[in-house]
Amino acid sequence: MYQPDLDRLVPDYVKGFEAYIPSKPDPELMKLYGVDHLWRLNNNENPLGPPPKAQEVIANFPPPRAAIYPSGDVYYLRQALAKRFGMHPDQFLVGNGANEVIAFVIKAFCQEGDNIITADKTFAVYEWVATFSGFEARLVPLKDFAFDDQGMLAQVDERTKIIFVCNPNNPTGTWWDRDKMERFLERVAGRQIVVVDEAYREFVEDPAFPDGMELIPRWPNLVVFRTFSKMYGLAGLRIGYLAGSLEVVDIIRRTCVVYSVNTLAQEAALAALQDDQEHIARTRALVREEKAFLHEELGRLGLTIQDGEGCFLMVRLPMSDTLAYRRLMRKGVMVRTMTGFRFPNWIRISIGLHPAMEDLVAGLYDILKKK
Amino acid sequence: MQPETIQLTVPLEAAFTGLVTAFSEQAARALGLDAAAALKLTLSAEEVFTYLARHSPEVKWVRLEVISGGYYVELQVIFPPARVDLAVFNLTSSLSLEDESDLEKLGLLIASRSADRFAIRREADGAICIAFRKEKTYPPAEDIPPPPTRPLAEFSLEAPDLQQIKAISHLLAASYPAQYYPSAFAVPGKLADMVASGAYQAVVARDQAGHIGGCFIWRGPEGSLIHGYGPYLFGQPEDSPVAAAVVEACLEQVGKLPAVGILVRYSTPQLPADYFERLGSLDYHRADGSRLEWPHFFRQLQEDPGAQVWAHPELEGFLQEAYQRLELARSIWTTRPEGESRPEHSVFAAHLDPGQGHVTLRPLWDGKDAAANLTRHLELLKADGFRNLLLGMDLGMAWQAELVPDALSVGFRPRLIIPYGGTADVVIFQHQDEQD
Repeated sequence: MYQPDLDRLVPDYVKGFEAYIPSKPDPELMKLYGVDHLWRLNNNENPLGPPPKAQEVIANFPPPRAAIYPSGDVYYLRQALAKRFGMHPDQFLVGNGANEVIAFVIKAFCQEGDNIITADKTFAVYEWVATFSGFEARLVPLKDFAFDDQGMLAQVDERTKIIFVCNPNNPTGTWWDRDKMERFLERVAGRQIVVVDEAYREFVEDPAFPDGMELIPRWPNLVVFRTFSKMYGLAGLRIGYLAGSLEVVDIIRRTCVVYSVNTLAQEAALAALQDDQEHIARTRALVREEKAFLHEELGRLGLTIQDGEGCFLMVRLPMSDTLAYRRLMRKGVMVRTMTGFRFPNWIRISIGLHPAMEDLVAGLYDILKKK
Repeated sequence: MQPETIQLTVPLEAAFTGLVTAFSEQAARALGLDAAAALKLTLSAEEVFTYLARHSPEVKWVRLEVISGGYYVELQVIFPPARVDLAVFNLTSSLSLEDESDLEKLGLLIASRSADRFAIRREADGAICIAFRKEKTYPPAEDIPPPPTRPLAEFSLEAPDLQQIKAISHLLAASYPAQYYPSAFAVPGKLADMVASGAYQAVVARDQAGHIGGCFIWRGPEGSLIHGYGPYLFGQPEDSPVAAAVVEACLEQVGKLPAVGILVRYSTPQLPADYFERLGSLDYHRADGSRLEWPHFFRQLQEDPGAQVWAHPELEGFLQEAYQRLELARSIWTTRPEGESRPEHSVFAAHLDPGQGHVTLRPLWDGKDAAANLTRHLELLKADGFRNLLLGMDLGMAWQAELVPDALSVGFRPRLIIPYGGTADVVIFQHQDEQD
């Protein structure tokens, strides 16, 4: 048997990269931790699920259609998005979750020797995709938990191709207002592609929050990411999209994998978009109420909270976050540890239904008392 | 600085012995070893090559890799899977000068003894790798006063430069008893090379005037773990924020590395309790005969996905108690020898820190003689002045878990678990004499 010569075959930047190991499926975790239920407060999923019409599409999906290829370029959903945002359908690219469109953009603009810029404590996939594709990821420290515009601009050189801004930032919830965003785009002046990841945009109620879609006509180097995984409750179907100027999206389309979005995801997303007003209002109300509850309860425990926009907040614990994770798991509550986001001893809590929040608070009381 | 590697692949024929020795010596010298140390590595290469050429006709080629680790040079002899008697590499092997077959193994024994660190492992493709490490020679720390310190009103955190690392070495020796750091840290030039090579990293807290208030040192990832040391405080009050700051700076830097956890075997009383879990403790026997508690701390860097471990029934009670106390989700699978055939000779690697009187034995190869082999190791190590005798057993490997009765029978007792210390968790046994 011939063994592959992996030393020669594998690029150095892949050798130095470690695969991300996702957590085990819930039934396995429940078995390991000896619990009969698990509140998933770790992935910022919508506890209300998708909007009702999307739920109907999923429930009524005819099994024989699984044998038929989906629309290769997500035709109908792009039409609907264009109508929603007053843009051309070709200004949208839909991917198998927003993670896939991150890869499209990096592949479209970066070549050997190029770099991307983002923050050190933000959604990790920008950094990962750049690194395992062989490009340098320049990470700028957050300033007061927020993206540091000046710090990022200071890192730009002639090999910088893309600047990623997560707005609002996951996990800190901080955000740039319209003035700050436009000042930043003005300083970049089209020399780089600016990606604004608005995965949590639909949770934001503050009118000062900049709508990336509205900025695209004035800033053709701007690319906006959105997802159906958060507010629209379709994380399990993997569907997200990007929007930008026709010229920029035409370039990105060249690196786009067609047929990567399945039929059920396309149809559920379309239905979700057409039935989102009440769903968004209900979800925002839930997030508002449960965040107020958490502020009160966690404040009683004397814990520091970092909260901004989005369906999550961060809490600093007087103990290792990874130990807190194990202890909470034994109580049927799964949170996200933040050491991997470079926030040791912090946890991120996704907003869930009230019984989940009550169990979380009771669990925290218990483990902190035990400490 | 990345390690430099120089390679040579040769057919396994005696005619190439001269090439092997010339290559090994010149590569070792080029990578920084002095003449005497380079000669020892050369001898190791020659002995292994000659032995294989005589006794392993099925081996067609050998690859030599000479690797610079900054403060050491490592020679690796790699060859395709073959039946080779490796028992000679035990620290305790003794050979009869009367027996001709033993005489042939004598060179191998000398080769393994002359290395500072020696290991045998199987590569992913099944090839066998025998590694000999020689450390560079460094002068001991000169008897000069350490740099001045003072309580820091304000400080910044940064990676230390060469001069700061040497200053840390002097400050460590002046501020902390020997049990708080590996003996190599007290040799300034060596610590500087350890950090410059990238094998170790550090963060220091300093004020604008350049006073060093403290530091935390780490190495890795090695396997699944980062190894942390400290935090070391210099001239700071007991409630100084420097300790938490340097620990947090380290955790921020290693948080995204491919490591499951960070283990702190050499902690100080200033280790902030909020950041770590106490695994348990060992006995630290000092040269003067006194005994101290030797706590071990750990924290995971990632969420624990749970794990499966092998356990001999005689260890199961200890494991269940420890996993419950540490709140680690583990499936314990019982294993024991059930009459299957077993190799004759076991092999144990010995990781020595003579300055501290520590040794950690690790099973490399299973064998029927494991208990007798361990006894020989204990006798030799005690005679050489080693006081803290440890045995690490990887519970990810059923054959290692089955060595429990052998270890218990010669006086080793399970003391603590290092989560993810090997392919799964590692149990650390400490040898306890009757009087303990």
